Amino acid sequence: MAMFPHERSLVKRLEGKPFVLVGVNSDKDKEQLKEKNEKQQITWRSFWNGPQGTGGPISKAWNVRGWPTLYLIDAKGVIRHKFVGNPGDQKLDELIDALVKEAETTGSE
Amino acid sequence: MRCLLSLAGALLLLGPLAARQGEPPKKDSQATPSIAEQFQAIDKEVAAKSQELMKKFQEAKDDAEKQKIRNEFMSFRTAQMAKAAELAKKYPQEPAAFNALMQSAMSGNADAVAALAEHHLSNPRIGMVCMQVGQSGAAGADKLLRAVAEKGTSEPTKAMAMIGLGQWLKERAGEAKEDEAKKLNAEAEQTFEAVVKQYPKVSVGRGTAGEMAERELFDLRHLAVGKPAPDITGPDLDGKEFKLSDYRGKVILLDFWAHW
Repeated sequence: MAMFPHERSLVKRLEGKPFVLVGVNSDKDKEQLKEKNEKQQITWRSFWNGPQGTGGPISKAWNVRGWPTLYLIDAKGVIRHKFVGNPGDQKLDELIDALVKEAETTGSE
Repeated sequence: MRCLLSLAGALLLLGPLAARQGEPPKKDSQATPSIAEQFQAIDKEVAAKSQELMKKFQEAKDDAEKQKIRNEFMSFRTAQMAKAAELAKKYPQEPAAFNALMQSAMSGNADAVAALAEHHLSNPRIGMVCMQVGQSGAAGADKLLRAVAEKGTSEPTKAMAMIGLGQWLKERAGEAKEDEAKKLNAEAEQTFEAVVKQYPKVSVGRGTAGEMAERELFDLRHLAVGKPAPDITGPDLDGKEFKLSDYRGKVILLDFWAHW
């Protein structure tokens, strides 16, 4: 939960860059969820893990055992970093920036 | 989450710890307390403190006061654990030193790891310890895990040590640079493959060692750093289907999250 503010600023800061934040949401009640998202200004797109919540099919397929779990995937679709628990704003920024830079340089070749 | 650990939760942890503290001493119970009794005394002090503070905690007026009590308990417990660790350092071969050594080993203390490997291989709880130490990824803990995997005194013990070793390697890979991570993950994969081959039916926790290792292998083969991310197809919150691969060409931060 503590991640929302930083995620909001990430999305804003990297607008127009080759970066996207995608969620897999594991709340059971989808209707309540929409209200909460509006309140928290969660504008990025999420898959919905289904009515079983954390027991849903996507988190199961990805063997997720802790929340939040974060994957950082590069522009080619390769997993580059994985974190169980918030890795910290600064660290996350650095890693994302490096991958975005990589995507921009290889993209312009 | 760890910081949310309530006082009550912390106290609950003590029960089993105190109860597990080994067999009651059979000799030298007169004048000088035996070493086992010295360990027990340390636990008893924590239990007494927790009772005393629990009362205060329940009577606390507000959250600030509760937090203060919680902190007081935590620092008391940390100090007692340090005391036990000191004692264990002095008498590493004592069965009663097991818990204290385990605690030290989990925080990466190399002496404690060595003492466990040398003196406590036949302790029936060493397998569980191996799994916990493995998950902690404590520096140097692989020495213990390799020793138990080789010289453990029962099949479950050996199986748990190998699972612990595989998890330890995975943990380390998560923190290593890319080349090193690849090597560590490769060794983790071999370790879990060996578990599947050697101990498929041995029961560990709620399942079998084989099942556990298979899950870890899936993780390593498809969800590890350096692997192509499996695609996801599913509905967004408005019910509209989309795919993770729709975003190929962009860096993706994939966040498994919920509001709670």
